[in-house]
Amino acid sequence: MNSNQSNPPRLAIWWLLHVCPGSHNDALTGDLIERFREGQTRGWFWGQVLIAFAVGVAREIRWHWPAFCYAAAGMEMPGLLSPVFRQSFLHWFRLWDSLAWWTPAVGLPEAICHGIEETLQILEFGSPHWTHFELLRLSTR
Amino acid sequence: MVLLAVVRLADDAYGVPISKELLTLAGREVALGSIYAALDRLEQKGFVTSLLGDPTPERGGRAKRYVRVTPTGVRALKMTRTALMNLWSGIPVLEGRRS
Repeated sequence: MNSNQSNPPRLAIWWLLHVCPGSHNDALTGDLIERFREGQTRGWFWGQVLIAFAVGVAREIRWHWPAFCYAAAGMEMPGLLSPVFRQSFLHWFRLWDSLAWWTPAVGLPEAICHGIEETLQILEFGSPHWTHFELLRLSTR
Repeated sequence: MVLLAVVRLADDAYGVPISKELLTLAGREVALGSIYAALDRLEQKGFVTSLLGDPTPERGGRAKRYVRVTPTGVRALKMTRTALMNLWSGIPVLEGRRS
C-alpha cells in the first residue's frame, strides 16, 4: 500500500479541522482516519467530511437561530429597501425642482440621491460578508 | 439508538465502534459526523459524559473520544422503553390478531 492509499486526503482533514463547526473535530478526524485505514476509499472520506460539515452548520443554526435570522435579515434588507429609497428620494427632489425653489443648488438633489444609492450599494455588497463573518464567529464559539 | 449502542459497548464506546454497532444491530450506515452530533446533544442533556483517551498512531496521532452513559441516561432509556411498550401494546394488527 503506497502512502497515497494509506493517508486520507489532506485537504479534507484541513477542512474538517478548520472549517467544520464543532468542538470535537480532532476526535472525529481520528475516527475517520481509523476507518479509512481499515479500507475505506478517499471518496468515502470526502463524503463523511461533507456530511460532518452539513450537520455542523445545521446544528449551529439550530442553536443560534436568533443570530442567524438577524444576519440573514441584515443581508436581505438593503437589497429590498434600495429601490424604495431610490424612488422616494428621486420623486421628492424632482417635485422640489419643478417648483423652481431649488435653483441656487441645482444638482444637489441628484448628488444626494447618488450618495444614498452608493451607501446602499456598499451595504448590499458588505452584508453578505457580514453574514459570512457572523456564521464564522458562531462556528468558532 | 446511539444511546443504546453506547450502553452496549460499555468501556469501548467511541465513534468507530458505535458506528459499527449501529450497522451490525440496526442495519444502518450512520455517518460519523451524525453520530458526533447526536453525542453532543446527549451530552448537553446530561445523558452521557465524554473524555479523551490517549492519541494513537493509527489514528494520525489523534485521541479517541470515549463516551459513557450517566444514571440520567439509563433512566431516560428505561422511560423510553416503557413508553414504547405501552404504545405497541393493544394494537391487534401488530400483535398478529385480526381487528
